[in-house]
Amino acid sequence: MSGDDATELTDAYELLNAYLDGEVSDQERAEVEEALEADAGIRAELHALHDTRQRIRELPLLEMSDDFGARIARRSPFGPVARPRRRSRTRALAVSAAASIAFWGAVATSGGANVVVPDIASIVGAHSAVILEEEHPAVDPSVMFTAPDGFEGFSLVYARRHGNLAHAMYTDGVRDISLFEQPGRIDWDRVPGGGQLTLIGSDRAWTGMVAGQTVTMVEREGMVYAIVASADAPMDDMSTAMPGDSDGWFDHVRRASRRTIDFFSFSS
Amino acid sequence: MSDRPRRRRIAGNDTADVGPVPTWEDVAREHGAFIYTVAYRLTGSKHDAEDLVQDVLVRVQRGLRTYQPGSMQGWLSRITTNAFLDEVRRKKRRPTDFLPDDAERVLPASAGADETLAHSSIPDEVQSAVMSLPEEYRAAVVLSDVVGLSYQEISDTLDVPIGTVRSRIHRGRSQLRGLLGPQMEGDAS
Repeated sequence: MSGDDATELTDAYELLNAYLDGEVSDQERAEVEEALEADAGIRAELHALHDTRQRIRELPLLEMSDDFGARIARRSPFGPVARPRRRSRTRALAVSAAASIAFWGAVATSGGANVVVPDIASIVGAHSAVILEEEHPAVDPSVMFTAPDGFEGFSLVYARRHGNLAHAMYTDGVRDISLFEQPGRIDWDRVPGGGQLTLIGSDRAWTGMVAGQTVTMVEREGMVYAIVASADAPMDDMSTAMPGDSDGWFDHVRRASRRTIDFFSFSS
Repeated sequence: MSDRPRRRRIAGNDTADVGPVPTWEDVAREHGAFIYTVAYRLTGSKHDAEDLVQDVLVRVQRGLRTYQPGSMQGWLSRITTNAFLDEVRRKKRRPTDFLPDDAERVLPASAGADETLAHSSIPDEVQSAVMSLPEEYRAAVVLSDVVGLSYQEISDTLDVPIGTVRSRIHRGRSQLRGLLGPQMEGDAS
């Protein structure tokens, strides 16, 4: 078969598919129908294409799992569900909630934008301070952060603003996630060592483990975000014991972090 | 055997609406299963489909501000497919981005009983065959044969010429035929 013949055959098959889909001109339709009448092989080919297409068409509509569907349904982007959390924990390691106003170690102004030098210890400290409170104050309604999608069963339990800085925490009773948001940009020359510079979407990010908690920082569209995720000891033990699984807890953190930041970027 | 006019395959609650713009909650409630189905057909994975649904709903929230009443499912199909292709391109650019230092600290994925039952009835060989297609062919075939979009709508969705749509559907179906053909002959005998 010459190259021209192969091209013609491909064109003919494309035309046959388009005919099957009703996507041909009147002239093409007449040509196909003439060929079908004259050639049993073409008729057989059309039947085979029809059967293949039918197999795809018969794929059923899928229902989301009840849990996922319920999670989606109750997570309106502007309607966070806040439930008070009551947990009995020692305060031996309590960190003053006042630390939450010092999330970012140093702030300078450059070119009209705040240049943030993240203080990881303060961020983690503020996160820990909220965890260790036995009862959280009412959620500040001005902090309308939605629990990150992908975190099954999480509820917003803490939300406070300190000037232009917002801190929200979500928990499922075992795992806790804090989100911090502040206008500005990160001084990438001064992010701490021991972590990893990476990308979330197309945005530069830093991630690392600090005091057993996963910390992620990213800058997007003039805002600096930090996400701190931690788990109780039993959860840590369980997760450490498990073999590699791409759909595990930390993978959810990774995916949900990107999505959460996507959401904040447009809703803030 | 030729179809004309085309019709939607999984129309469900599609509203060729002329009324008020739906809220985000309306979209999530009424079209969640539709979005999930398209997402699953494109990704072939429950977790990836759920992630994609959430990405789509974020985009829906943003897009509803400028949404013009029309075919809601056509609009959702476009968002879903583009979110899927964006993710494919992102992974190809950075296949190992954002791995935590201790990525081995993970939990097992556990399917709930309801989803196990739901998925057990899916014709796996057909879904597997769809998954074997290159993403661009897969997107065209899913939009055509699962969603039921016209070639023009697919052209608009994928931002490619209509001739490219025709070619991708032909190539995709040809591959599927090769993969499913023996099974189909077996079914017929």
